[in-house]
Amino acid sequence: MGEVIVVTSGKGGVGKTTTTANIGTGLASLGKKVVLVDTDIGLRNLDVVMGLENRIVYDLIDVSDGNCRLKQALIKDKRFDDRLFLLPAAQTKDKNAISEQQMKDLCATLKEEFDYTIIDCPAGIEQGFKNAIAGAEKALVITTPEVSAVRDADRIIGLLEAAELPDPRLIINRLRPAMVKQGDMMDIDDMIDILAVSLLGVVPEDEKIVVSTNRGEPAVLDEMSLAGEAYRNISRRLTGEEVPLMNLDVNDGLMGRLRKLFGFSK
Amino acid sequence: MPNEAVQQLVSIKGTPNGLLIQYNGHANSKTLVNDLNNKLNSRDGFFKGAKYRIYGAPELAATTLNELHAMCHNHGLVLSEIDIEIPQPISKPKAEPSLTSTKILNTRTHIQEKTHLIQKSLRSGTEEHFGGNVVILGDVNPSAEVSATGDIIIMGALKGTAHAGCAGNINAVIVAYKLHPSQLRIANKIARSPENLSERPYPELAYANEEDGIIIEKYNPNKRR
Repeated sequence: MGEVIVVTSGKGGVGKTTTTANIGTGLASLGKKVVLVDTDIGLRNLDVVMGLENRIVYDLIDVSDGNCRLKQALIKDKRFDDRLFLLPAAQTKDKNAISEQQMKDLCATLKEEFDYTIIDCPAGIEQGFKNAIAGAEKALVITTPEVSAVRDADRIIGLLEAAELPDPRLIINRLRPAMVKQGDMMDIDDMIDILAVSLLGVVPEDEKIVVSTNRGEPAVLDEMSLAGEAYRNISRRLTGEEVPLMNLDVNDGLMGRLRKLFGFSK
Repeated sequence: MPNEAVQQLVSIKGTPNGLLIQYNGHANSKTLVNDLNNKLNSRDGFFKGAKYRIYGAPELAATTLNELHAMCHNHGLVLSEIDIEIPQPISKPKAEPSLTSTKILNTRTHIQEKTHLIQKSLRSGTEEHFGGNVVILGDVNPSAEVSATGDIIIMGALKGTAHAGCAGNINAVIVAYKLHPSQLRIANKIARSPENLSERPYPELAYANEEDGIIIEKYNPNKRR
């Protein structure tokens, strides 16, 4: 029996899809059997980020409507033989094309076979959100160090609690340590103070994410990417391993780490 | 004030025990109901959950009175079980301006009201209303709202909006361990935080009076209010 985890945030553009792709890929590279479910019906993106766009034949709605078998709709990621699959969203329908009960049934089926079922939730708190969390057992809340994103995350955590998905874990995305140090950006403690949930990981701002997203190769596979390393750590934490937070200290940490990455120091 | 009251068909007054809705019974029943509806609509949701009583002279026909009650009910008002004091009918406003009312307003009678204990934080988007006082063991986060007809005590940080004495009781207070609200309201007074708000590592108390509006001071347990 696997786990069903929903990745959500409330606000759009904070990195739900990127996080889903990277954590899923990260877990698969740790040898877990993973399926990613895109519930952003009408605005699907996860397939693009995973680089699997041109292989879609059937989608989530085809499965829920019974137009195809679940197996037919699952797209296998060839980088991981039989360990990483994607169930894409439909692009031509809307969020009401599937019901909460259908999502529950789908998740129950998927968790029989997969170690991790990771659901990419759409932005907002409407039907799409309700569908995405319907079958989930755990939740990851993504925020960026912005007041608006934190405000929305707070709202989402309240809604998750009301939906009996307690103790969501927080991922802070796109943190810029240099700006935090200058006092121009919210720091981690400020966010934890407001949201009062446990922190799963911090992902630094990284230009490589843009490149990897466009190419359809999750950054977690890039040994040189800082964000990729953060996602690798998060994936390991999800499996229950204890991994300390990355040192994002500006002076020596980041530069030292970069130097290390480029092989300039031991 | 009294003059205004004479001309109004229906007036809504806040008292420590709830809202006092007074009517001028000489108007025809339809205009009375319409006037009340307009008044309640204009305060859109402001009175929600407040206790009320209807007074006036002479007696209205039962159907009209029922219509008034239904109207109040539709706007979320709750009929008070106890009689609200100051039954000053508008029809004779010259008798005693408001000696009794001043006396009542100056005592903190509402502390005898029911007190609710909330053992959680209110997150963004939650809106909680209480008849009586409320003690919150947790935070009130930005864009969460708490209102009570009596006092509000927050054993955590108030970063959202709090409205004490929301049925019109200006003697209600708001106390928070960290008072960093986006907005404070006491009865009909509203205040917002100054732009350059510094951290103050002590609990604070907010109270209000008619002249100065809302005043915030360091909470002093020895000072009797």
